[in-house]
Amino acid sequence: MMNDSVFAAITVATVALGAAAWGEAAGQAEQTYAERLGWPAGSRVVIFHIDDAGMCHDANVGVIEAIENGVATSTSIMFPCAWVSEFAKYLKDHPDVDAGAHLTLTSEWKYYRWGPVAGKAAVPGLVDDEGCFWPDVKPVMLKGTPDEVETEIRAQVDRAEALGIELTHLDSHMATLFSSYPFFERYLKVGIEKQIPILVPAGHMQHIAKDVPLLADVARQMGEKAWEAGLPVVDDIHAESYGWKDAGEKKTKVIEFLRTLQPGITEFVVHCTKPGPSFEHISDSGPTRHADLLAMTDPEVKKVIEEEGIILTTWRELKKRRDAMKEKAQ
Amino acid sequence: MQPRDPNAATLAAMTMLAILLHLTPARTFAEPTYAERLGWPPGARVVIFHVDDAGMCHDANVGTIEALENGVATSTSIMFPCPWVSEIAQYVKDHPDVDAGVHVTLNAEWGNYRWGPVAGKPAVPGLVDEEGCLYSAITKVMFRATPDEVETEIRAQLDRCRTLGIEPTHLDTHMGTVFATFPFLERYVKVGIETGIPVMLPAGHATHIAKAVPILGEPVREIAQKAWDAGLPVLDDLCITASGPKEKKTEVIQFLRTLEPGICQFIVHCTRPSETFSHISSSGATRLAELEAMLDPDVKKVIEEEGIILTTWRELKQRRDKVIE
Repeated sequence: MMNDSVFAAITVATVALGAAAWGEAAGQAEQTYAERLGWPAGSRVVIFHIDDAGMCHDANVGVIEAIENGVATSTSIMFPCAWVSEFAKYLKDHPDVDAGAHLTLTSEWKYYRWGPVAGKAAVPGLVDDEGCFWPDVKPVMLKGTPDEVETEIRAQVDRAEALGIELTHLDSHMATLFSSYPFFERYLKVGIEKQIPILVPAGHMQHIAKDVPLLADVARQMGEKAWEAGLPVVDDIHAESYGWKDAGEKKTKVIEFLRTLQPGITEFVVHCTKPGPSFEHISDSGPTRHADLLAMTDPEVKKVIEEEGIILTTWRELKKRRDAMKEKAQ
Repeated sequence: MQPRDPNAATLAAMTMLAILLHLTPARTFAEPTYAERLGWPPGARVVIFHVDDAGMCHDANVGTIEALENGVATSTSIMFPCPWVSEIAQYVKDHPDVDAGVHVTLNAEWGNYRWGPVAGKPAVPGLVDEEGCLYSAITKVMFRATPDEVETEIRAQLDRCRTLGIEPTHLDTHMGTVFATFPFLERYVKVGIETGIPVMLPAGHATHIAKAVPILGEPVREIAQKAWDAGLPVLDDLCITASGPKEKKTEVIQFLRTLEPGICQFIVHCTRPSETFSHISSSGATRLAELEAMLDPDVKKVIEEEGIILTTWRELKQRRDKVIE
């Protein structure tokens, strides 16, 4: 469901905006962002990233397990959700954990829902007839203004700051911020202004370009701006795991991903959750989320990472490497 | 942080209000009860068994629905800042006869599961703690929030209710926070009067609430008179259950056996706690006992034996609309 809506939204946006006019695909011979950030030529670097921390208690349990016992290296938090306080307490006790803001502009489940941190009066175009965010990306594109989107992004970042969380990065729930050029610009703007890295695929895009063909040029353009402003970017995003619902299939495909990985930095997106008896009242996505957790904690997956010489990293490390480059340049 | 007992918190808030205002003790009453003024026969004993905290979590919704459908509970109110509102709202829309109000919520009292103001922090910064949520403690709301912010948030919660397509039968107060200061209470009543929605106010003999909060009586009575004069029904008394899970049924039966004439709202927090609930709060056993008391056949029998009339806020409003004074 998530991949479909992301795909649909991005396709609509790019078609609407005539993204094809923005230039040709970059040449294949360029250096990867991994190399530009100081890793040896040919390095294959991965962030196993868990989306949706704070969404519910079961998500928090899954995130913590995948980071502590698995290969997951980073997570991002949904600040409009009610279980943020629980996860924030964990972060205070574990300040080394890589945690960003999973900027959330949609509320996609039927009965368990949330609204804007900024409040309806400040961002009326982001709110549906239940007082919550729209359930899907498209209405956000049609009813939300870029100013409202920026106001809500800042409100979520403000909540993180008030909680004492130093965000390692920003990314986008259901890819809503990639769904229109003006939204994408605001996301980039806040990232640059606050010097918080933003998730944007800007390199070879082996996976994301296959998933969402028309995103490539816009993303590359935004990625270059972010890079020039001193922020690290990734070469690729892999966002297909949510569609792999069976645990066995998921494990096989994660291993296949690792075996066929191209050089560069790839963020692999998962939604690790330990679904308790109540999760089914929130969503029927429990099995694929639980399978993500199983894959992240699977010994074979760990072994393949070692065998392939794949480097695991965090957003914090990407930022440090980017900062070190700036110092060198001076 | 230790989860707070909402009853104790309510008590604290009401006591605080009373101290702040240096009130005189409650006067004795020889006047007709509000039950009589609303057209019930003299001596009628009328009860609203009211389920607080609908929408707070899935388990609260399950408990609320069970208590209304299979138990003696007659009314509920919804916490609009909470994430399970859509679920109970759907139920209310599918069951339009259900009596459902706005449980005006100005606190987020649990440690790990928390919510913020519907109005948003920029609109009501004085209601928000360092986690971006409503304050855990009533005293923080008293000292940090302005009456304007309280009114803004009450209106935002009411707006969310109406946007959802629900016309609330009444307004009441989570943890009693709107009773914590007189200016808050004024705003709460003001919104009720302005919108024509009944507000929960114990304004008659106040036998139970005066025992729990001895010096609350007079200012509430005065403001309730305004609400009444503006065409809204009010209560004679409010009973907040204080017993532990094991004594709950006995307490409810005792309440029914010794009930005085008038309209009394008896507050429960019916919940069907799952494993998830234990991560929210340690109050699961008490809330389950309140659900079980509402479902108990003995309780139903005592209501019949005693000739106690069960009512709703909707009925109170309809009766008030017909009163000619």
